[in-house]
Amino acid sequence: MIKEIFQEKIEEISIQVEQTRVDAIRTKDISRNALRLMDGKCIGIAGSLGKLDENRLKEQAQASLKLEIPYPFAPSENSHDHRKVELELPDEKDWVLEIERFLQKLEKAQPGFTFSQKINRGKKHVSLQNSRNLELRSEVSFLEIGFAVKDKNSKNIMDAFYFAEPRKWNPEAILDEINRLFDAYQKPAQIEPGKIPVVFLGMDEVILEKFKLELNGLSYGTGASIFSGKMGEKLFHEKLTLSQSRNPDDGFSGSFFDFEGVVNPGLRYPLIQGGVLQAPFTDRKRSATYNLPLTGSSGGEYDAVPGIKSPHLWFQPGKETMQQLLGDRPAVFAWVAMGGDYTADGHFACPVQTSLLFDGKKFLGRLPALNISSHLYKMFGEDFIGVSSDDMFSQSPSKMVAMELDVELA
Amino acid sequence: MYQFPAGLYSDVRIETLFETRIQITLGKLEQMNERKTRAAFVRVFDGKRWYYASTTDLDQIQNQLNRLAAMAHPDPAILEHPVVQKFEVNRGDFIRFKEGEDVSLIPIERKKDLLTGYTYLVEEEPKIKMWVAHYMDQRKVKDFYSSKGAQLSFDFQRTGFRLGFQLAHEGETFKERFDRGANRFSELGGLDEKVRFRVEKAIDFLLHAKPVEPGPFPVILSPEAAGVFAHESFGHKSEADMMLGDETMKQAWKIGTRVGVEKLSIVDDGNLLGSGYTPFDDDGTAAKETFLVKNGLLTSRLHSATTASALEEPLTGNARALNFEFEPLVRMTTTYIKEGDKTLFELVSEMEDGILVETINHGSGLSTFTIAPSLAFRIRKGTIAEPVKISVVTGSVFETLNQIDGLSNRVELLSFVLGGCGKMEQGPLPVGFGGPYVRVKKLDVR
Repeated sequence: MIKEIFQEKIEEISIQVEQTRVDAIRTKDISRNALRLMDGKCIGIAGSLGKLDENRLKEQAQASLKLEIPYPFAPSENSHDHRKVELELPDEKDWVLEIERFLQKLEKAQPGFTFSQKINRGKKHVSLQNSRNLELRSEVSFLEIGFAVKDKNSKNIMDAFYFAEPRKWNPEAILDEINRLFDAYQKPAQIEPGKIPVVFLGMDEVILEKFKLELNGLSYGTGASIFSGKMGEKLFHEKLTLSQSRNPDDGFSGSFFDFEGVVNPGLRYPLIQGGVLQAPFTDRKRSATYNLPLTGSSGGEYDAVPGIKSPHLWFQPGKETMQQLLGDRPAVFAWVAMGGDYTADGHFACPVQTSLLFDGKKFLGRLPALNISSHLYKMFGEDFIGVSSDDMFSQSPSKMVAMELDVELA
Repeated sequence: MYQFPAGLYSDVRIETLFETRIQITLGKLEQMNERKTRAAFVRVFDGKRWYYASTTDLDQIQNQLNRLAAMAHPDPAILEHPVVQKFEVNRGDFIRFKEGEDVSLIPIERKKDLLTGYTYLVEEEPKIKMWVAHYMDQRKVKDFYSSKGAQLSFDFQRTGFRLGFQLAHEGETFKERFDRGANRFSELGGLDEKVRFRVEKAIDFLLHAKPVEPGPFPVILSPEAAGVFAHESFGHKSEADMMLGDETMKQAWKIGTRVGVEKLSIVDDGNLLGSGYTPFDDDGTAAKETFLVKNGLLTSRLHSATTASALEEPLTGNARALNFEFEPLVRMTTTYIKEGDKTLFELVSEMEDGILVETINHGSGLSTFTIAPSLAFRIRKGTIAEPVKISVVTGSVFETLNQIDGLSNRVELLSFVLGGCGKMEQGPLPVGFGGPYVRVKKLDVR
C-alpha cells in the first residue's frame, strides 16, 4: 500500500480597493490536507481543513478505498525537491500604508478613472510526499494587482482592467504602466476596418480557450477533438510554439510539480512546436489509456482523485519585438475582449469592448468598440504574425501575440 | 457566545459544509467522495474600513475578532453609523431541509446509482465519443452572529447531475450537456426522456448544422438563454456596488428611468428554490422579492447593507459570499424575466427570418453583452428550420432591452449543478435564472 500526503497552505493579505481607496483588509491563513492510499489497483482519499490528523485521515482513506475507484498507476518516487519563489516586497506591517500612498498617487495621475478590486500578496505552500521516497515542496510568494477600472464619464459598470503580477514592488514603474494605458485611453483614435493585425496578451483566455478544449488528452484520445489523430502533423504557423508551463518566468504562480508529482524539464512541456502538434496535455490516466506522452497536467481539488486539468499555456516568444513583427502596420491591442467563442469547427468571433491603437511599443489612442473574427487554423496559421520577444509591461511577464483578424466596427 | 469588541460592529459566519462529488468518465468511476468541513469568516467594521479574517480553526474565532479589533479604530457611536443601522437583526432557527430531505443523510451509493442510471443514454450512441457524468450535492448550514444581536441558523442545499458529451462524425465535432440542479434528491429521478431528447437534438445538430451567415437577425431566446441574458445584460448593472460614488452611473441608472419596453419586468428573488435560494444573505438580511424592472421602468437595484445605506435604498438580501474564505459582495440570487402573453408558437410563426437560441455555453455582460450559443436554429417563414453554428450573439445592453417585442406566457426557472456566476475573485457562485421565450428585434449574430 502506498501512502501519499498532499498539503496546501495559503497565507494572504488582501487589500480591497474601492474608488481608488482602501476599503477593507482581509487576512487568510488556510490549510488543506489530503491523504491518498493506493493499492496498485484503486485509490482511496480523505481530506481535511486545518491541522493534519494523519491517523484520522488514514482511517477515512481506507474506507474510501472500498469504493473501488480505479487508479492502477505508479506514483512519482525517489525525488526530494524543494523550490522557492521569493519576491521583493515591503514589510507586511508597512503594507497598508504603502498601498494607501500608491493609491493616492494613482488617483492624482488618473483623476478621470476609478480603480477598484484587489491587491493581494501572500505565500502558497504546496507539498506532496509519499512512502516511495517522494518529497516535493513548493513555496511561492505572490503579488497580484487586479483593478477593474471605470471611466467616470461612462455608463458602463467597468471599462477596462489592469492586472499585474510583479516580481517586486516598484510602485513608480507600476504607475508608469497604468499611465501608458490610461493616457492613451483618453485620446480617441480610428482604424480602417478590414483584415488587420490584432495584438493580445499571451495569457488572454479568449485566444487560449479553444486550445484548452481541443488539446485535452481525454478529448484527443477518444476522437472527440478536432486535433484527434493529428499528432506529428503541422497544423499551424511555424512561429507558433505553445507549451504547458509551471515556470514562474511564464506568469505561472503555482507549484513546480503537478497533482501527481510530475516535474517537467524546464518546467515546460511543448504541446505545439513550430506549428506541429506534439502532444495533447495528459495526466497519468489519459497517458496510459490512450498511449500518449505524459505531460504532467494533473490537477483537482485538494481531496480529489488526481484528474486531468487544463494547464497554464504559454506562447514561446520569438526573436523579434512586437514593433519588428508589425513593421509599420497599425494594430489593435485587444484590451478587453470578453464573451467571444469558437464554433466546434473553429470559427471564431468576439466583441472587443475596449481596445487601443498600438504600434508595437506605444499605445496611440482608444478605438471604438469592435468585432473581430477568423478561424482557428487561419489566425494561428497563415494569418499568424508571431509572439513578441519583448513584454508589453516591464513589471510582469507579458509577451504579446499578434495575428491578422477580420476587424469591423461594432 | 462571542465577546464582540466595544465601539465596533462585528459579525461571525460559521459555515458547516457537506459535499458529495461523483464523476464517471466513459463508464469508469473517477471520483467519489464526501467532504465535511467547518470554517468561519469574521468581520469587524469601525465606521471607516472593514477588517476580515477567514479561519479553518473554530477555536480561534474569538482571537480573530480581537486581532481584527486591534487593527480597527473603535467609535463609541458605531451603532449610529448608517451602515450599522441598516443591518437587520434576525434571530432563530430557519433550517429548511430536514430529515428525509437532508442530502448529507443519503448514502453515497444511492447517489452513484442515480448517476449510473442515466449513463446508458450516452453510452449507447456511437457518435458520442467522449462523455463525463457528474453528480454533485452541497449542503451548507450557516450560523450567523452579530454584535447587533443577530443570531440565526439557516441552510441551503443543492443537488444535481450533469451529463457532458462530445460527438464526432466525419470530421465534424460538437459538445453538449444535460444539466439538472435541484434542492432535493427526490427531484432528480425520471428524467430519462429529457436526457434522451437533448442527446437526439445534439446528434441532429452534429449532422445537419450549417455555419450561420453573420449579420443582424431577430432572435428568440429560450428561457435558458433569456435568463442568462437578464443576468448578464441587466442583473450585473443592478448590483449597487458597481455605482457607489459614481455620479454618471447614478444619473444613468436613476430609479424611474425607462430602460426597456413596457412589457418587460425583471425580478431577483432569493426566496425561490433552486440554485439561487438564499433565505438570508451574508449580512444576515432576509431574502426579498425585488423588481429590478417593472413595466420597463427601473424600479430597484440589488444591495448589501453597505450599498443600501450609501444609496439610501431598502435592503434586498443580496450580500453573498462564495464561501467562508470571502467577504460578501452584492450578487444576484434567482433572476428572471416575467412572462408575457404570447405562446412560443406565436413568437415563432410571426417571424419571417431569424434565429432561435436554445442552449448556451456562456454569457458575459459589459456595455456589450454576449451569449455563446450551443444549440441554435434558423427560423424561416414562421417555422423552426435547420440548426446553425454560431460563435457569439451580441448586443448593446442599452439598446436591447428596448428591442424586445415578444414574451411567451410561461416562465421556466433553471438551476444548473455545475458552474455559476463569477464576480471579482469569487466564482462560481450558484445562481438561479430563467424567463419565458423572449423575442428581440435585432441582435448581432456571428
